[in-house]
Amino acid sequence: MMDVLNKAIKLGLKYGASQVEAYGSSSLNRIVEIEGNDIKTVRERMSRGIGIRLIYSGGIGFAYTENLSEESIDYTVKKAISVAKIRGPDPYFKSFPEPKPIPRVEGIYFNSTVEFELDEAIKVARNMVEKALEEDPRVKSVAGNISLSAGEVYIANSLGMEFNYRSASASASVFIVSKDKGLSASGFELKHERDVRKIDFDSLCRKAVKRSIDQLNSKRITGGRMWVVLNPIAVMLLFSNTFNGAVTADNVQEKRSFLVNKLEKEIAFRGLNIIDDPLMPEGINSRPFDAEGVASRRLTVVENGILKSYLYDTYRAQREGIESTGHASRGYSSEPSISPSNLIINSTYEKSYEDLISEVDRGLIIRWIIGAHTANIITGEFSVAVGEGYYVENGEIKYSVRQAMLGGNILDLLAKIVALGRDREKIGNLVTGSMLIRDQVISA
Amino acid sequence: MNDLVEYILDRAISYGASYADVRIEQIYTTQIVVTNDRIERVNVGVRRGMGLRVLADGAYSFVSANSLDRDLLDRLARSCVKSAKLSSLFKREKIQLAEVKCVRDDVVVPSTEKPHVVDLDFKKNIALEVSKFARAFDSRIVNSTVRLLDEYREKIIATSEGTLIRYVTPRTRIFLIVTAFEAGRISSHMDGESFVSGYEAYRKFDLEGWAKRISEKAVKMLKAEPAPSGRFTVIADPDLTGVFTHEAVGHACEGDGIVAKESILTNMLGERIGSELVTIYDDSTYPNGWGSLKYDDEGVPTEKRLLIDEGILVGYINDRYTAFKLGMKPNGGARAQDYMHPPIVRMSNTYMAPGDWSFEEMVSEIKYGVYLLGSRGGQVDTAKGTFQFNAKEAYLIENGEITKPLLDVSLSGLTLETLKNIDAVGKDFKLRSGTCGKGGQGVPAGTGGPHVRIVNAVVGGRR
Repeated sequence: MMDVLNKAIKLGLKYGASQVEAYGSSSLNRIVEIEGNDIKTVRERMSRGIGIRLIYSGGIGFAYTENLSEESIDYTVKKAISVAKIRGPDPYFKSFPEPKPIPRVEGIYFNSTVEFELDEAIKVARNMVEKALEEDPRVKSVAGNISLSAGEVYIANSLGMEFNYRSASASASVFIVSKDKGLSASGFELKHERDVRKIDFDSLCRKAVKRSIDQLNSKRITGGRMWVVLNPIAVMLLFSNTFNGAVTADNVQEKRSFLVNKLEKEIAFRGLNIIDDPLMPEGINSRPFDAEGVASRRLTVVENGILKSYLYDTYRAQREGIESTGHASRGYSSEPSISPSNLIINSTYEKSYEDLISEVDRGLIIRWIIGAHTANIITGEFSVAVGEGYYVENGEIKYSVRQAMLGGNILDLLAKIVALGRDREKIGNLVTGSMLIRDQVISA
Repeated sequence: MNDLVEYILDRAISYGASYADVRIEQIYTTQIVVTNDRIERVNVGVRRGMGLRVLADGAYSFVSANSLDRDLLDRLARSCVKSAKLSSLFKREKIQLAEVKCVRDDVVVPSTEKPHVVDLDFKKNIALEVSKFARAFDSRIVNSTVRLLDEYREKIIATSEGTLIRYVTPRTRIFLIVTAFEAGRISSHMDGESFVSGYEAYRKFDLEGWAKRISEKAVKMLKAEPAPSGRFTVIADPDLTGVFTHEAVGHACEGDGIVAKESILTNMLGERIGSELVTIYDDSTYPNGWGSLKYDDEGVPTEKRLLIDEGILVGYINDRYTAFKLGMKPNGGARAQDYMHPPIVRMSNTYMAPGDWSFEEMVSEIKYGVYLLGSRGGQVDTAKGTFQFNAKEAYLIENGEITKPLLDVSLSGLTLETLKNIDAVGKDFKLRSGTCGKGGQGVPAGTGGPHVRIVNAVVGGRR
C-alpha cells in the first residue's frame, strides 16, 4: 500500500502540485449475525482504497478510488488536480503537516482478535442464544452480533511523511425481547474492545436478559421537573450527538456550534473534567497519529467546568495560527474531518453509584435513549424518548417506566450535574460514570 | 461484467452452494460542501466492488470486496460457502426461500444531465448560489452550509437461478443548514431536496425561494420559546406524519422482525390496530419516489404493499426468506445499501393515505395543543413499540389558532396507542425523501402522508 501512496505522491508532484498527501486504508471485517434465536448470516468484508489530497496553485483538491491499478491512480490524481482548480486558492491553507516523532500506543492490535476464527465466533453466537433462552422462560427473541475487525492505516505526504499502523477490535451486542402477560420489553447490551478476550459473552447475555425482564413490570409515571441519573451509555448517546460535534474547530469557526465564544468560560458544573486521550491503552479510538499523520497527545478539553480547548485538524489550526491538536479523522473516501478520539469524563465530585441513587428524592434513572441522533448539534437542544428508565423515589429504585421523554439543552444539563458515579465504563470512545443531574424536565 | 457475475455464481455453486446471488456495483460519487462563500469540501471518487451471498446447507453467508480480481473472487466464493456450511452446523433451523420467477431486465432510470458527467464547476456554482441566497435573506444569518451530493450507480443483480438485472440509477441531493444568532441566542433550520434524476432537476428548481424559506424559519425560531411538556392534542404536518408512519408502523411491519418475533405486530394480521381513519402503504412503485425501485436486491419485482387498511393490519414487507417462513408471497422488500452489505428487509416509500379533513377544521377544534412540522429524524424500539421523532419546527395552538413558535421538540408514544388516537386525517398529501438506517445500512426511503391530528400525545418540551 505504501508503494501505491508514494506513486500517487510522485504523480501529483509531476503534474504540478506543490504538495501531495495520500491516505490509504485496508480492512477486513467479519461478522456473525444473530436474529430470531438463530444465526442469521455470516459476513466477511474486505475493503481498501486511497484518498489523494493535494495543493495545486494554492487550492486544495481531493479524490479517492477503490481501484488501485496504475491507470486508476493516475486518473484519481488528475481528478484531484481538477478539483483544486475548480476550488481555487484557499486563503487559510498553509501546508500539510511535517513528519514528527510518533508516540507508542499500547493495546490497539491483538493477535487474539485477529486470529479469532470464524467458526469460533459462530459457536459463541449459538451459545449466546442458548444462554439467553435458558436464563428466563419469558425471553422470546434473541438478536445481536459478534464483529471482528482488523485494519491498517497508511499516510504519506510530499514533506517526507510515511507512517502506518495496524489495529484491531472486536464487539458484541445482544438484543433481547421478552414477553409476559401481553407486555413486551427489550434489553440491549453492547461491548466494544480491542482484545476479544476482554469480552465476556455470557455475562453480556445475562445482563441483556435482566434488562429486558426488569422492564416487564413497567408503569406510567407523572411527568414534571425531577432529578435524573444518566447511565454511561445514555451519556455516550447524548454526548456523541451534541458535545462531540460542537467542540470541533470547524463548527466553531463557522459558527455552527453552541460552544462559539465559550473558550475559557464555564460551560459545565465546576467539578467536571473532560480529557481527550488518543493514547489511552486499549481505547477504541486510540492511535499513534491522526488521519493527517499528526502525533497523538492528550488534551484537556474541559477543566473544572471551564472549556479549555476546541479540537483541531491541520487546516483549522492554521486558520488560527496554532498547532493541530491531532483530531483529523477520515476514511479513504473523504477529506479529513474533526472528531474526538477517546473522551474521558471525570470529576472531583465522584460517588458510588448507590450513593448517587440515594440522593434522588424523586427522579429517573435513564439508561437508554431513543432518538439521540435528532438532537440539535448546533444549538444543543434535545428532546428524546427514554428507551429504558427506572423511577426512583426517596433514594430507592421503584419500577421501570413505561413511557417518558427528556427535553433540554446540553449546556443546561452540564451545568446541573451534581456528581459523577464511580460506576465508570468504557462505552465506545467514551469513558464515564453515571451523571446525577438536578432539575430536568420529564414528560410522560 | 455479465461474464464476471456468471463466473462468481458458478464458483459459488461449484463449491457447494445451493443458491447464490451477487451484486456488482460501480458508483460515481460527488460531495460538495460550501460554507458561506467558501468551498469547504469537494470529494469525488468511484466506488466499485461486489457482494456475494450464498445459501449452503440451509445457512446464509455473505462476502464483499472492492476488488474484482478473479483469483480473489474465486477465493472469496470458496470461503463464503465454507462459512455458510460452518454456520449451518450451529443453526437451529435451515433457511428456505419462497419461489420466484426469474427476471431478465435492463432498467435505466432516465437522466439527461447525468451526475457523473455534469461539470464540477456547474455543481459548485449551485452550492455557492444557494448559500448566497440563504445569507442574503437576513443579517442575523451567521452561517449557511450547503451540501450537494450526487451519485450515479450502475448495478448488476444476478442469481444462480437465472435472474440477471442491470439497474442504473442517478441521484442528486442538496441540503441547506442555516444558523442564526441574535443577542446571545442561537437557532438553526435545515432542509433538503432529493431527486432520482440527474441535474436536469435543477433547471426547474427555485433555489432562491427554497433557500429563503429555510433562512426565514431559522430567523423566526430566534424568538421561539421552550415547548410545554406533557400530554396534548397535536397536529403533525405531512413530513412528520410520514416519519411517524415509517418509524412506528413501517418498521414494525418488516418481515424479519415478524419472523424473529421482535415486532409488536407479530401474529396480528387481520386485527384492528388503529382507528378507521388510518390506511398505510409501503409503495415501491410510487412515481419518482425517493425509495422507489422496480426490483429489489434479490431480483424480485416490487409492488405497492397495503400494510394497514382502515385500521386493520393486512400486510408485511417480505424478502424471500421471511415470505417462506410466514407463508406469504415475496413482495420485493430486500434491499442493501451497496455491494458491501447483504440485502435485508426494508421499506421503500411508506405513507398514510389522505382522509377528508381540512387543516383549518383540525386546528379550530383545539383549545391548547402543539403543531409540529418537519422532521429531524426519529427512532423506534419495535419490541416495545416506543417511537420518538423530532420536529424541525413547532408552534403552540391556542383556542383554535396557531400562535407562538416553540424550541426543538419531539413527540413520543406507543405505536398501538397512537394509531388509535388519530382522530382526524387531512385531505392533503406530500411525499418526502430521507435515508432509513437499519442494521448499519442506510438506504433511500420515501415517507409521507397528510396532516394528521393525534390526541393525548406525549410532547417532550423543556417547560
